[in-house]
Amino acid sequence: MPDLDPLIHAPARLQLVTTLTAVAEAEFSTLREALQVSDSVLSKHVSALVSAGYVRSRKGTHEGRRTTWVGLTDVGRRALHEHVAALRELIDVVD
Amino acid sequence: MESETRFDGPDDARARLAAADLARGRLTTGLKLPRGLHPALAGAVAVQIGTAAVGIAEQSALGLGLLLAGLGVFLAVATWLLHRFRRINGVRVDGLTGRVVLGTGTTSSVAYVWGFGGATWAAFDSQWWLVGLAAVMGGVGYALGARQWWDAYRADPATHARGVSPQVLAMLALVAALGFVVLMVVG
Repeated sequence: MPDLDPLIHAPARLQLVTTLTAVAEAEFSTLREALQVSDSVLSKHVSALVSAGYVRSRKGTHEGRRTTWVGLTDVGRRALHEHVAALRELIDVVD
Repeated sequence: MESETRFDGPDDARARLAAADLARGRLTTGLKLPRGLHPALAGAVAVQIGTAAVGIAEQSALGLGLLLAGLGVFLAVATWLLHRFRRINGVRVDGLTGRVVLGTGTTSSVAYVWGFGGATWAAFDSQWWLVGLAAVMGGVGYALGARQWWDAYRADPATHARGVSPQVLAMLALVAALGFVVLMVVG
């Protein structure tokens, strides 16, 4: 079996890092709506991925209120690339 | 979390990849360009090209002032458009920054170079109507390049999202400012 990255294998985390490939950074509530998860779930996943160095976050403002902006790091981008390649390899083996 | 990390083979892999693409699609299909972005960008670039061409042909302090004023108009409009995009959508896309501020991409670059070259030549020849025409053509082509990038981005966001970071932009602005200082000192 190809090497799958346990840090981004959970569907919500894979969706989070994949979504971040489309932007340089996204505001927290925008991400939450795209991923259709609660604040606490998103916050938990962002914290875990920040700790792993896959994602960066910073405090900022949006529409006059304080919020968190989240972006993918180069490490996270590479990890996603390798994880997706491993998943595709798995699919190809069976097909 | 345990159930999320369990893996049930290729069908599960397909489902996870599809769900991830869907989530990214939910974000990108909801993105909107600020109202009037293309006309505003075309107008700002036309003003910048026209004032730069006349300013260069003038070869005086007044000309330099005109050139800088046109550049200021362009930078103000570009900054406002990027700020509006971020405010409307809650995201920053570096690819858009590159297209709007630097005109990266073949269509924008070619339109700008031809427009600027034509306007400058016309200004030295005092053909003012041609200066205006070349500036407008350059601006329209530049905005068209931004439009092409937007269509490409919507079709394949991951490939087209990356561009020039704010840090690189700041460095380029510094280099441009130093260039102007050198021009003023030497001139």
